[in-house]
Amino acid sequence: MKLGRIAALIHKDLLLDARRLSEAGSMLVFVAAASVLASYAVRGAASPRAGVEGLLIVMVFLAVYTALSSFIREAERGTLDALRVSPATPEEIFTAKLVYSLILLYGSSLAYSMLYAFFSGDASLLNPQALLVELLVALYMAAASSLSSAILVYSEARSFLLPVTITVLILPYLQAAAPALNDAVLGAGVGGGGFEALSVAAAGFAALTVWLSRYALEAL
Amino acid sequence: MEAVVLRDVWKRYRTGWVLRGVSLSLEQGESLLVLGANGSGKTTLLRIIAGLVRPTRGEVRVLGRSTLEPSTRSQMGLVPHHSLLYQELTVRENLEYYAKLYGVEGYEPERDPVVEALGLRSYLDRRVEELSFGWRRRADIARALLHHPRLLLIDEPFTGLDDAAQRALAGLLNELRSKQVSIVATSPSESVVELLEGFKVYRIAGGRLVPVGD
Repeated sequence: MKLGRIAALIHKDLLLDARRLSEAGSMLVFVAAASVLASYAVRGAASPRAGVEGLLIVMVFLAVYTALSSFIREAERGTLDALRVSPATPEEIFTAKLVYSLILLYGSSLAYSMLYAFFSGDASLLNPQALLVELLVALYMAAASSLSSAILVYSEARSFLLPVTITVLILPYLQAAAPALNDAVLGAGVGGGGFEALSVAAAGFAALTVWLSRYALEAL
Repeated sequence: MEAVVLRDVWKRYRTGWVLRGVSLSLEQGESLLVLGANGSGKTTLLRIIAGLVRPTRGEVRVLGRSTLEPSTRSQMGLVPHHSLLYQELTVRENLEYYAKLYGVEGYEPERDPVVEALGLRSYLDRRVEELSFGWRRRADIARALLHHPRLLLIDEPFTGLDDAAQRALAGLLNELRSKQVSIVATSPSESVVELLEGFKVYRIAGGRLVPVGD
């Protein structure tokens, strides 16, 4: 894999997002609204658990958004052909899309955590262990989002299938990550090898999706 | 070496057969113009050579290898009818991005002779979405040539271009041909034959490719 090529692909996607200010703005408004709701409306008062629940809901929604804005957006614009006739390998293209999704997801997660801290006065989502778990969840979701986008790129039913596929792919991981994130937020720490297991699962799943990309993208 | 070899290529869509046993051999440096009415299969043929569409049956070799190999794709340039440029980016940003994608070191759009030949220099800092179809088309051609491909696939090169742009593009294509770059172009109109020098001319009709003459 050529890192220069991957960097060029990521830079291009981020530049395109920066040029579409209305989309970036609406994403930020959505994150801000979710943090306000989690802070005040969901429980009537700020609580760490409400913050975690709000964060995970935001990340699931944004995983669907990043799926729409990676391979599917390229296909809708017709620029997917340019990638397919370029010397970039499927693994390089997929890795770039995965990292792009990770940047959006983790960036949004950080924005949410900061806004939640601002509105609720509770900065527990910003403690180092919580931030690490959030990073792992973002990595897993970015891999699931990119794989779903690559597989469903030409499906006529993708608007329906994308959220379903992404939810099915991330649910097992969230079942383990949500309690760990709660523990981290409450200051209890992620013990019993939980953090290591989450790290291996996220990195392993991301590597698996990169390997699968050669089949997903060649079949396009 | 043969730039393009098609052996008994058939392609069927849901609506029926588009290509029926197309065979073709194009040596490196030779160029081909495929004429045909709209919907005759010209674009499908081009997309099969580019590796974007798989034939229902038959064999395709480009530059002696499969089109799925990155080493083949790095020596091929494609200009389909729709633009492969990113509309929100400037022409410069697009060209620089594609240069990195193709591993072209030290690429500077200002020094690109194709940019100069097509009169694109003053449009480099304009967003693609601000350009007319003709200028967008020229930028697309510059994109497809920046990595110096040995094979250029271009769908309806003159469609939507004014006379001056047609002459500039014809001059460029004829110059590329003289540099042993193989070109496969398509056109629905026979009038382009006189613009292109030394191209083999074929017609596609009923899914079959028939030579018209040189």
